[in-house]
Amino acid sequence: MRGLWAGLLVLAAGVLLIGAGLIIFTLVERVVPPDDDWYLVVRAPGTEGTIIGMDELRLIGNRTVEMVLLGTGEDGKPHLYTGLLLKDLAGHLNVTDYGSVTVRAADTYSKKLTRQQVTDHDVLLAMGRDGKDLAGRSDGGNGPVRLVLPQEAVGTYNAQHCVKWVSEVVFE
Amino acid sequence: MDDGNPLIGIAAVGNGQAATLMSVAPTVLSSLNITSALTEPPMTRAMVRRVVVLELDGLGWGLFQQRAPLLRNVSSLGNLSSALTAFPPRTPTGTAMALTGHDMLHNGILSSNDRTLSQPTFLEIAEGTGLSTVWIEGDRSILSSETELNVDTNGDGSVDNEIFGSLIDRLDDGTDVVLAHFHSIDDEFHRTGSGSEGLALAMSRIDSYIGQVVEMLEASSTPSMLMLFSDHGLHDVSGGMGEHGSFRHEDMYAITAYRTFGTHAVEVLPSISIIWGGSVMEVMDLEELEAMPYLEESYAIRSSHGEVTSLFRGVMVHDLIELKAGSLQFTSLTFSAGDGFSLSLPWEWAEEGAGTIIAYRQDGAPLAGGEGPFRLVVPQELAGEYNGQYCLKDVTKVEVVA
Ligand SMILES: [Zn+2]
Ligand SMILES: [Zn+2]
Repeated sequence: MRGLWAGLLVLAAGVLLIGAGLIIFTLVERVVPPDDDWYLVVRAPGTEGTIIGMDELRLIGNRTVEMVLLGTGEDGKPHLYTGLLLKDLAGHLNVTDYGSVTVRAADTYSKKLTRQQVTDHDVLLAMGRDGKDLAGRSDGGNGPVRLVLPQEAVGTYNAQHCVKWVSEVVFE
Repeated sequence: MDDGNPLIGIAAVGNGQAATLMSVAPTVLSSLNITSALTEPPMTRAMVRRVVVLELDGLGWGLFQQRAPLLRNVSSLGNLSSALTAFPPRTPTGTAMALTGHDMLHNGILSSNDRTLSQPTFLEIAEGTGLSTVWIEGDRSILSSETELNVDTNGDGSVDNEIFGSLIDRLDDGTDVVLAHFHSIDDEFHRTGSGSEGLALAMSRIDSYIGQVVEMLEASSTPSMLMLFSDHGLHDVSGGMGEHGSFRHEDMYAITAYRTFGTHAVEVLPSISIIWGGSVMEVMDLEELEAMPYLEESYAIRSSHGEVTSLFRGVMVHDLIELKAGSLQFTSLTFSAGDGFSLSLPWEWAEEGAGTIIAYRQDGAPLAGGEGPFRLVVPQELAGEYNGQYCLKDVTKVEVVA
């Protein structure tokens, strides 16, 4: 129910934007897209917020990176992750004026990165692993969108930073 | 009392004064006069308008005692206690216990892999009553809950100073309940062990932050509480590093401390605590007592000053005890007064029909200062009997002895 409410709120705000063009896109509720129709809300300074559906995300996010996730629930072995690099998302939306990026999940978990971390490393909004789409939350998966970022060094834990069920990206 | 929690038993055996981290949430909430269903007794009944909670990740009770000189501002808070954390002693498990006031069997966080709380945090409960709250973190959430994140903006290798900056901003803007989680003690202990200079530096830096928070709260006109806790401790492992997650005292004993500021400005509601098994089971204030069934009768009280008869209205002690402890048989009851004087009576004196009451009205008016607001009134068994010595004035506590 809460999920549906947030979804409706997003859509309502989106419609208002198209109509008036002036209304500031502010979300009080956490974005919780429906499992079978996931989307990403991207917010950036000076813009009203953009909703990107999974089809479009997959279209623009086809980079494949080998990454090791270490931590509880991970096997610590290299896998091929496919998705959209955060720096490419910024480029795609023409977001240039930001100092940090916060990646937020449908369950309110979140991770913040400096601009440098985003531009200097392969920080990926992953949608696939080893050629298969990431399963959604209701199917027991970590997707359809999951943040995947490299270990700081071989042997260091990074899984707890890899936010599951990503629904929002905020450039600040 | 939660009988399902194995840690309570351990606390009783392991350390006489040790509580568990579960007392953090009820202390925060009760100090803000927020009623909750939490059963752990609060550490204090002080009333404040603002609470600042600092979580010092990895500051075990043992490490604190070893390195107390580095933590002078922590030590001088007073009200320091060791507190058992959850098992496994990890950040999410310990944090969840402190923030929800529930043990791990009931709060949903059984391991560091769990994120989703099945109980609200004290921040969420406080927010539900209209207070403003914030949870200030480092660069990621610890649990699935609204958090304000910080990154190492100035590139000095630690997020602590950025977290401190956010904390100061929130003290300035008057946020009612602030939780800030500092990580560097845990980080440094992991990296370089308990004897390292890095750890010593992290501890002194955090201690200086605490000193600055204390100064701000001292200067503020808002009655406040500063509460401090750690989520777990760590132990040394080979290679000069540290780890936690084991069932050992270094990891399991965390710390709690608190201090209140300017509480004199707040009206503290008079109340009676009902104590059983060494824990406060219930705190009842006048309003709650007045809502209970009462007895109003004429009582004669005879002391060395003579005999006075008046109309007392009050709650039957029997009803008060049965409310929380059930209709069990106890051996005795100990009543304590505000000045520390106490008196034990056999349970039979309080049984149904005995007429022993906690009076809150005398001849239609609230009890006079010094005698009330609550007075134990024990009827005479025979006319003319001396019963004044049993009619304890200014009762604040009733302890049930099984
Ligand atoms: Zn920790
Ligand atoms: Zn740790």
